[in-house]
Amino acid sequence: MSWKYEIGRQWALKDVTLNVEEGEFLGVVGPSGAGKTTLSLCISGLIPHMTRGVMCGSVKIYGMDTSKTRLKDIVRRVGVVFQDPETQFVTMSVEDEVAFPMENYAFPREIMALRVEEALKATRMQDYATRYPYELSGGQKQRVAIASFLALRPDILVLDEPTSDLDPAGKSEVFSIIDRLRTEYNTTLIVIEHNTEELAKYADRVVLLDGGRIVKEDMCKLFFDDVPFLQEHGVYPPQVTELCYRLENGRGSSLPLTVEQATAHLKNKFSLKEPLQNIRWPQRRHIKKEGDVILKVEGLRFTYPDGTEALKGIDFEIRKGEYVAVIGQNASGKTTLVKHLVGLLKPTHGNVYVFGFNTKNVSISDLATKVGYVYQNPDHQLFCQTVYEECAYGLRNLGFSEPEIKTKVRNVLEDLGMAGLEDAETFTLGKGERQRLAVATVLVMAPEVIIIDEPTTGQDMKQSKSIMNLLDQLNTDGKTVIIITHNMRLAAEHADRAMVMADGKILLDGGVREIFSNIDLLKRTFLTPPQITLLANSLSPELKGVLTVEELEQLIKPE
Amino acid sequence: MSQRSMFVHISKDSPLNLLHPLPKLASILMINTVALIIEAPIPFLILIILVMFAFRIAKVPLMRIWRLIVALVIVSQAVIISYVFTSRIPGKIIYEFPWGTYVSDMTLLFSLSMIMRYSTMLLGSTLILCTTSDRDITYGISSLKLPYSLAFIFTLAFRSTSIFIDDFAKVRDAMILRGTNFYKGSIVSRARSYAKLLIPLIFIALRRVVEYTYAVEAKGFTITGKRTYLHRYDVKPRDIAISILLASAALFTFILKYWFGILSFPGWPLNMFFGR
Repeated sequence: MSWKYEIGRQWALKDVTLNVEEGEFLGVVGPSGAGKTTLSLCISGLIPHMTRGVMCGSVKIYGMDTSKTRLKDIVRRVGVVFQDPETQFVTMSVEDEVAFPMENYAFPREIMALRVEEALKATRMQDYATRYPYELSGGQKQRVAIASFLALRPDILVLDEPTSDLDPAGKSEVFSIIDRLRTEYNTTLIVIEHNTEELAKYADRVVLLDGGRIVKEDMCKLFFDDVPFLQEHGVYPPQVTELCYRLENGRGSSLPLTVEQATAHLKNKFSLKEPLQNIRWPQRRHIKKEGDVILKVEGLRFTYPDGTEALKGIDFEIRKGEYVAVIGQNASGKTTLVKHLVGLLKPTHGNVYVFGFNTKNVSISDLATKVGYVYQNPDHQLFCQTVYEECAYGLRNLGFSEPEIKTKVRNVLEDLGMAGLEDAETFTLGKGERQRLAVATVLVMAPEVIIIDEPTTGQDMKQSKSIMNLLDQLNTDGKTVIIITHNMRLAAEHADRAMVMADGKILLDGGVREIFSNIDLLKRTFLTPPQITLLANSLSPELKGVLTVEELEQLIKPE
Repeated sequence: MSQRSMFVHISKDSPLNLLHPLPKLASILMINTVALIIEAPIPFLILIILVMFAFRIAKVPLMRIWRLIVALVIVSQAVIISYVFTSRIPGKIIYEFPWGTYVSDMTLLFSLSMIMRYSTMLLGSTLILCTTSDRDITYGISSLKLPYSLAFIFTLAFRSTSIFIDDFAKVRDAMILRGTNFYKGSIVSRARSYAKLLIPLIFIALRRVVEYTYAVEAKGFTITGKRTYLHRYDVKPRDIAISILLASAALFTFILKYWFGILSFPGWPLNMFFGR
C-alpha cells in the first residue's frame, strides 16, 4: 500500500506490506516524519474516508477493504488513540467521554455504566469521573482517551504514542492495561512508540518505518540487536540492550530487552573492572552551594479557581548556572510551579523571587528578559507566519537591530537543526519541528534562565539529542537550565540536580545521582529511575549510583 | 466541591443542578422573551434585581462573571451612540443635530431602558449557562425529540468558545513572555499585537476542526442512526411546576404590556413624571 496526501509532494507511505495476526502486539518505531501516524490513519480507515490523497494498494481489516467499507463499520472494529489526547475530547466530563463511543453504537445503559466504571478503574481515573477533561494534566488526559476505547473493546486498537505525556509509572501502567486487552479480549494491538523499553516488554513483533517505508521488521527479541542501525534511523533501543551490545562488541544476538533479562544475562558473566571502594564516579557537576541565588521560592502555595490546591508549601533556591530537572508524577504540580517562576501565576500564599524581585510586584514582560519558558504544547507559542519571523519576534520587542536579529536567528536555527527553514510557514511544520521552533524562539532571546516543559516530547532520538546537547552547551556557558520531564533517562544524562515533586510538594531535592539511587522512594512517587540504573542496582546494590550506559560500561566487563 | 458548567465551576449544592435540562433551557427563552416584551426601565430594574438574586440562590460565584461588565459597557456604549445620533423620540429636546435627529430626555431614558434590556438578557442567559453543562443541553434538546447531532453541534460550539478563550489566554501569555506589552504603545501598535494573536488562534482552530472530525468519526459518531445515553434525566413534578411557572410569567408579562399597558415605555411610575 502507498499513500500520498493531496497536498503532499512525496509519498507518505511507499510500498508498505504488513500482515498483522489476530491477537498480536505489533510495535511500530521510527523517526519523526517517518509515516507512523499516517499508517495508523490508514489502518483505522480514516484514510481514505476523511482525508484526500492518492492510495495505491489496499488495507484490509478482517477481510474488509477499508476504502469500500463504511467508516462506522470499520471503527467499531478498529479503535485509534491519537497522540494528542486533548484533540480527542468531545464532551465535558470524563465519564461522558468514556461512554461516548458506546452511546454511538447504542449500547444498553447498564452495560455502559459497568464498562465506564471498569475502564476508569483500570486507568486510575475513577476519582475524576465528573471532571472536565481539559482541566486534567497531560497524562490524565491520555488515560481518559485510552479508557474510552477500553470501554468499547474494539478488535484492533491502534495507539499513536500513547505514553508520550505520561510519567514512568503511567507508561508502565498503560502498557500493562493495553496488554490486558490482548490477554482478556484477544485484542490486536498496534502501538506506535518512541519508548522502546516498555514496548520491548510486550511486543511480539516490531516494525521500523523510515521515509514512509518499512526498513526493518522482526520478532521483538531479535529486532533490537542491531543497535547502530536503529540509532541511525532515530530509534532509542532499550538501555540494557545498548549496554549488552557494547559489552559484546556487536556480536551478540537475542540481546536482553528488560532489566530482568539483562541481569540474568550478565550476572554470571561480569566482574567489576576495579574493586567497588575504588570506584570514582565520573565527574558530574555537583549541586552548587556558592553563587548568586537567582530563583527563590518561600512557602509557596497555590490554589486554582476551582478549589484544587496544586502547590502545598514549596521552598527552594536555585543558583546561577544550575541544571535542574523537575520530575514527578502527572499532576504533581510541576508545570504549576514553573509558571510561578515566569510570573504567569501568582502565589496564593508565599513568595517567589526572581533575580531578587518578588513576582507579585513585577510584570511578566519584565521577567521575560531574564527567564525564558518553552511550553509543553508548541502551538500555543507560535504566532508568526514564517520560522524567521517567529524567531525574530522577541528580539524586535527587545529592540535589537535587523542585522543582529538576522545573525542570532541564523545561529539558533543552525543549533537546532533547522537551518534552511527560515522561510517555511510555521503552521505547516510537523509537530517535532514546531517543538524545536518553540525552543528556538526562546533561546534566541538569550535569557539567563531557560525553563523547558518536556523538551523532547514527540522528538525522535536525533532531534532529542540535538536539543539536549544545546541545553548542555548553554549550561556550560553559564545559563541556568530547568527542565520539566518525565523522561528519567534525560534527567539522569543531563541534569545535575533533581527535584522530585509529588502531590504539590517537593519530596526530594538533591544531586541526580543521589536522587536516582533512592529507588524505593522514587517508586512510591510513581517514578522509575532509568533502566540502566535499575540494572546496575540489580547487579550489585553498590552500583546504584550509575546513571548512564557509558558509566556502567566503564565499570564492568564480561568474563 | 465544584463541577464544571458551560462557563464556570459551581457548587454541587446549587439547586439548579436538581433541575431537568428542559426547564433550564426554557428559562433562557423566558428571560429573553420577557426582556423583549418589557420597555419600561423600572420593571427592568426589578427584573435585574431578581436575576441577581437568582445568582445567589443558584450559588453561582459572582466574582467569576465580572468579565460580563466589560461586555455590558461595550453594549451600553453602542446603544447610547445609536439612539443619540439616529433617533427622534418626542420629549424635551436637549440637543438637535444638523441632519435632523435630536436628543431629548426621552431619548436618554429610552437608551437606558434598552441598556437594561440587553443587560437582562445577558445576565439571565449567563445565569442559566453557568448552571448548565453541555450534557444538560444535549439531553434537553434530545428530549424535545430533535436530532442528537443538532444538540451535539450546539454544545460543541459552546465548548469551542471556552476552549478558544483558554487558547487566547495561553497565546497571549506566550506573547507577553516574549516581550510583548499589551498595555503600552499607541493604539495602532496594541491593535497590531492583538491582531497577531489571531494567527495562531485561527490555525489552532482549523487544526482542531480536522482533529475533532477524526476523533468523532473514530468513535463511531454519525449524523443519523440510533444511539443510547449513559445518563437518564427523569422529569419530576418540580420540573413541570417550574416550566409552568416560567410559561405563566411570560404570558403574564405579555398581558401586562398589551392589555394594561403597564410595561410600555416609559411605564409606571415614570409616566407620572413625564406626563404620559
